[in-house]
Parts: sequence; C-alpha cells; structure tokens
Amino acid sequence: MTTIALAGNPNCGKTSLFNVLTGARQHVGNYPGVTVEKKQGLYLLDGKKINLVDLPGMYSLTAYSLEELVARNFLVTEKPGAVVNIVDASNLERNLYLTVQLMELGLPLCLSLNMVDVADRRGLEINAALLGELLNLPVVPTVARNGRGSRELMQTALDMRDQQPTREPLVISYGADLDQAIDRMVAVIQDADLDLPYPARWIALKFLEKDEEVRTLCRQYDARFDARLAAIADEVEEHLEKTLQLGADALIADHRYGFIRSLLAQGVVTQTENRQRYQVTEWIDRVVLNRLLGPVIMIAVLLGLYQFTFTYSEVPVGWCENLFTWLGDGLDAVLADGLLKSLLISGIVDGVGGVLGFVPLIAFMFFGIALLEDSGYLARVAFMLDRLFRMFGLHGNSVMPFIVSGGIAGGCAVPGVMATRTIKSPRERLATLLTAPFMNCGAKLPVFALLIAAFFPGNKPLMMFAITMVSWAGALLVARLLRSTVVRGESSPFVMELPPYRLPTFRGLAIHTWERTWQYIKKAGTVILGISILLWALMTFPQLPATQQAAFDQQRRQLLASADAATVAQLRGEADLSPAARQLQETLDGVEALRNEAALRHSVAGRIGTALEGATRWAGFDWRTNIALLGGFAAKEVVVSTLGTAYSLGEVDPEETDSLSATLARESSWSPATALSLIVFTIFYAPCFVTVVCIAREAGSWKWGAFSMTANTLLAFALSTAVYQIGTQLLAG
Amino acid sequence: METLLILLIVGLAAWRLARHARQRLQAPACCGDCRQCRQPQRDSSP
Repeated sequence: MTTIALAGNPNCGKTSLFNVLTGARQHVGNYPGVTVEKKQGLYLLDGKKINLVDLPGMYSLTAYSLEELVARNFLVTEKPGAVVNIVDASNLERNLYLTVQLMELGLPLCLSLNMVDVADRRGLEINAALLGELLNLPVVPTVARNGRGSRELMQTALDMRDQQPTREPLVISYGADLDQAIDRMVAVIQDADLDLPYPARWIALKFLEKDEEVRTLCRQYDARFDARLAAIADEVEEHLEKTLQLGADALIADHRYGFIRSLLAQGVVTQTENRQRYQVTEWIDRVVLNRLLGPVIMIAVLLGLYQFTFTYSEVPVGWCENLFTWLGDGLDAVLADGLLKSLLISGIVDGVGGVLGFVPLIAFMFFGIALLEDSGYLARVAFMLDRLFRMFGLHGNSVMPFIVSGGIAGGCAVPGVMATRTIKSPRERLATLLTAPFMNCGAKLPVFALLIAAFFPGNKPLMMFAITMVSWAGALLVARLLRSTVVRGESSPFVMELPPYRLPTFRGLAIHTWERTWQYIKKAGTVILGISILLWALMTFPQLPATQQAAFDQQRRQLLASADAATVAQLRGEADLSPAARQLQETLDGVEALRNEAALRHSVAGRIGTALEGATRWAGFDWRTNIALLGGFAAKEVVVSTLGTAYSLGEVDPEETDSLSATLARESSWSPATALSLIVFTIFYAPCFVTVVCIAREAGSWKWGAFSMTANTLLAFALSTAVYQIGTQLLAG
Repeated sequence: METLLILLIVGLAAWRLARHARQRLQAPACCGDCRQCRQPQRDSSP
C-alpha cells in the first residue's frame, strides 16, 4: 500500500483535507517515544488503497520544535511514496518556506494550493500553473473545507510516485560566504563516506542553522568529522557576524525568502485589489524594477559608480604615481648604471608600480560595487538583465556569471566561470562560459584607466560606461552567434532570487572593499612582480652585440668631439644650457633613444613583438604593445606593467620619469584611435591563462579552452582593426 | 656578481611563476582562494 504524507504549516487546512479524504477511516496514535499525535487514515482511489499520514504542522524542517523533528524524521526514515505539501494560498510567501525545504531534501513532492477561495476573497489571484512550472512541481488548487480538488490531488500524488519516485534536491545559493562554507562542508561529508540518512548539502545547511539533532547525529557518527564541520560553521558564522551582523541561520532564511519572493514576483500572485500596504522592499522594487524606470535607474547607478570612482580616486592615484616616481628617482640616484639598476627601475618600479598605482581607483570601484552588492541592488540588476539575456539565447542564470566576471567592472572571470554551474542546460552553460570572459575584470581595469587617463581625460566616467556597454553588447552578440551555430539548442526555464534590501554597514563595506583590494595588491606583489621580472629579462636579453654598441658609442664620441669644449662643459654642469648646448644635448638624446630602441628590438621579446608588427599594425599596435598584449595572457594587469617597462627601457633619461599615461599621451605613435583599438582588443582577446584552464575544466574539454583563446583573439583583432582604421580616418578628416 | 644576482632574481621569479601555474592547473575545480569578486546572490532554478 502506498503511503502519502500530508505536510504543511499549522492552520493551512491540512487536517481539514485529511478529514475530507479519510472520513471515518482514520486512526490516531503517538509517534514512538513522544507525545506528538500520529494520525493515519485510508483513502481509496479507484479501488487503490492509500495510507495517508497527517504530519504535525510545521513551519520549517529545522528541529526547532518536537513536531518539526517528528515530521522530519518520518519523512526521512519512513520514505513515503509521495509527500503532499499543503500551502495556504492566501499566505503563500510564508507557506512556501517549508516547500523550499522539502524540495531541498529531495522528496517526491506535490503541492496542494489550498484555501484558494480565501485568497480570492482577499483579492489575490494565484496562477497555479505558473507556480508549478517555476517550482517544477505538480500544483493542484484545492479547497479542503468542501473537498474541491482533493481527488485530483491524490491522483496527481499517485502519478508522481509512479513517474517520478526520486527528485534531485533543490539547490539554492545562499550567497558567497555561505556557499563556500557549504561546499567545503559537503566535501568533508562526502570524504567521510558515512551512511547518513540525509543529503550532504542538507546536513551542511542544518549544521549552519544550528540544528541540534543533526549536530548530535554527526557527533555520534564520528567526533572528528563533527569537529571539522563545526570548525567551518563557526568560521563562517564569525565572518557573517563581523560583516553583516547576522547569523548563518538568519541569512539562510533571508535567501529562502528571497528565492520565494522572486518566484512570486514573476506573476504567480496578482493583486486584484490594491489595498495591501507594501513592505519597503516591495515598494523599492516597484520603482527599481519598473519596465521603463528600471533600466534608466540602472544606467544612472552605473554612471554614478564610475563618476564616484574616477572623481574621488584621482588625487590618491596621483599620490601613488608620485610615490613610484620618487622611488625610481631615489634608486636612480643611489645605484650605479647597469643591469641591476635597469631591473629595479624599469622592470620592478615601472612595471609593478604601474599596476599598484591604480590601487586607489580599484579600491573606490570595489567600495561602490560592495555598496550595490550588500544593499541587494546588484541582484535587481541581474533580474532586469534576465529578460535581455533570453533574447540572446542565454539563460537567466547567465546574468550572475557575467556580473561576477566584471559585468559592472572589477570582477574576475575565474569565479564567473565557476558560477555557470548554476546553469543546468549544458548548451546555455557553454555559451555563458565562452562569453563571460568578455566582461571587464579587475585586471583589465588598470589598462582602461591608463588609456582613458592618457587620451580621454575629460570623459572618464562616460568612457568607462561606454567600455562596459561595448563589452556587454559584444558578449551578448557572440552568445547569440554561438547559440545559433556551435551550441544550438532550446532555452530552459529559470527562477531568480531577489534578496530583501538591506542597509549596508560601513564595517561590512570596508571589509569587502579591503578583501578585494588586498587581493589586487597581493597579485601585483607576487604574480605580476614575477611576470614583470621575466618580461624585463625577455626585453633586455640578448643585449646589443658589442659592434653595435661600439657604433653608437663612436657616434656619440664624434658628436662630442665636433662640438667646442665650452659647449660640452655646459652639458656636465648644473647651469642653464646655451642654445648650442641644448641642440647638442638633443642630438645626443636622439642617439641614445636609437640605441635603446635597437637594444629593445634586439631582445627576445622585441623580436617577437617586431615579428607580429606586420599584422598588428593594422590595429595600430606597435611592437612594444605586442609584447604587452602577449604578457597580458598571463594576467591582464601585465599589459600595463609591460608597457611601463617597455617605455621605461626606451627612455633616454630615467631621471625624467613621468607617469605612463603621460608618456603614452606624448608618444607620436599613439593616438586616441590607437587607445580605442587597444581598449577593444583588451576587452575581447584571449582570457588570461587561469581563466582558460577553468573554461577547459568546466566545459570538460581543452577544445573549448583553445576555442576561447583563438576565437576571442581573432574577434578582438578584427574589431580593433576596424576601430583603428575608422578612428584614424575620422581623426584625419 | 651583478650578473649572478640578476640570474638569481630572474630564476626565482620563473620558479615562483611555474609553481603558481602548477598550482592553478592542479587546483580543484573551484579556485577557492580568489575572493577578489565575492559572488553576490547567485540565482538558481528549481
């Protein structure tokens, strides 16, 4: 005989339904060892006998009360053929909280949308079909008092038991901190390989919710295993207390309600009478998610973020530049000319300094993003973009990987690529994997900041906004192209979370900003420093052959010999130069510049850069930019550090160090068209090495890693060539 | 002496980068240590 359990909140009409279904054929006992009533009854459907169990009313599956504990244990240990979750249609949001937890447990579930008549009287119209589609559950509207829909409900539960006896547990994201902790806990649970009655993720969640029963169970299995889980739970709890002043259990509840609210916001509940007072979140969402106002607000927020970043970071960025200039000058004064001096000044100070100089800008940008994220607005951005994404063949779940990869700016494609795991359809996931790296990660930011400062100083926020738009447009168009060609297929449905708005705390914002900024500094001080040193070596060796060195020396000597002694003496002195001495100095500088250029071209990197110049000049890139772009494959910040080193090595007088942006603005081979072309190339060309590894791993084949590298670079080259050629024509005109 | 020092620094940088690359290639599927971009509320589908 099939057993069907009835589960629901207290006062949802569960017992009424049980009575209607079983009539007099019921029996009341106690659950073993406790005083909680156990009601069972028989229901006949076309001659088939069904054992109905009316579980005690409960709000959640966490063992907060004896009733909840008993109900949960029954569901897990007795394994009923199906579970009918009765929800009060007039109070859906609260009732679905239990539904979400039942789904997280992976139970074979169907929903009884009860008291639809009460909901109707309250002016609420519920779209049961849509609710079922979004939850991927059968939903049957019922009125328990008069038995309406009860037969259909039982038939549905039986059909479900036959057709879908097991279900994948629902996976909700609980935010970065908790998700990471849950993943770590799941790994511990799976490693322990214990025969636990619950899914691993569910145990992790209950552990974080401080469920004493689950904790005791874990302790009984293995004390060390329990201690490992407790250590992770305590660590994240402490972090959440520090940053959000919230416990893990409260945050979990917040996210579950967020999930439910976003689901209901998709047209499940329609207010036929506008007499309810909206909560703050709902009120804000009405404005912020408005079809017309929403995008306008979103654009204004983005522009505001960029304006804030560039305006307030300008002065501290100047301080950083001065600091590195001072450091370079100091080293120049104390060190003797030679390779070590060149390595320290051109390789390290000008290379790493170029990247570290943007720390204030990065910090301001991260602060702004933390503000959007902690307040809950970022999730609304994702919600609005969802509609747009579907038009381009992507999944609603693709929005977050894009934003994480740097959709607003300052993200990282590695976690972005990881975030695509929430997309179940492999084709939509692949399209997202391949296009998310087009977003402007934190490493691309210094490249853009450098070029904007050098060539578009009057329009910094607007340029940053345009760059963001170009990367989004490119990513969406490429996604459309991919979805129409190599990864063709149907789109899958999607539900999105809308967490409640929260007033961010300054402490929380400061911690988030510092974490990311420190990551940037750490990367500059380790990986970027290492790459800078290697690239310096590649840009220095092999050195110019002695014969060529001698030729330059000879040229220099001849110039000095041809000048009169008084003029030469002036060059060594501190006094102002006469016109003749100035001319001699310029000629000597010219010879030195030629020597430095010849030396750089003679180096390994110089030869590679020069070899590529034949093709890349179409996009406006000279051999030095080619070296920088090749270095950018290791990490995109390297584009800045390499340009810093390349132009520093080429400098005639290291004492006249200027910021890299000023140097580029002065260079005759650079123009706004070159800068635009390089910006476009940086947006679209091959992702960094780490991202390629992640793409290959996530896509399950190195083929896709290679595809991402080659296709992106070809696309980037085509686009930047077009930009450069058109830009040059326009500038000439 | 100077050349030796340069060789040492460049060698150290190369070794450090190689180790970093190896760690990346061998890392478990999730990088874990990259908190540069803390994920905001990720969406999910049932």
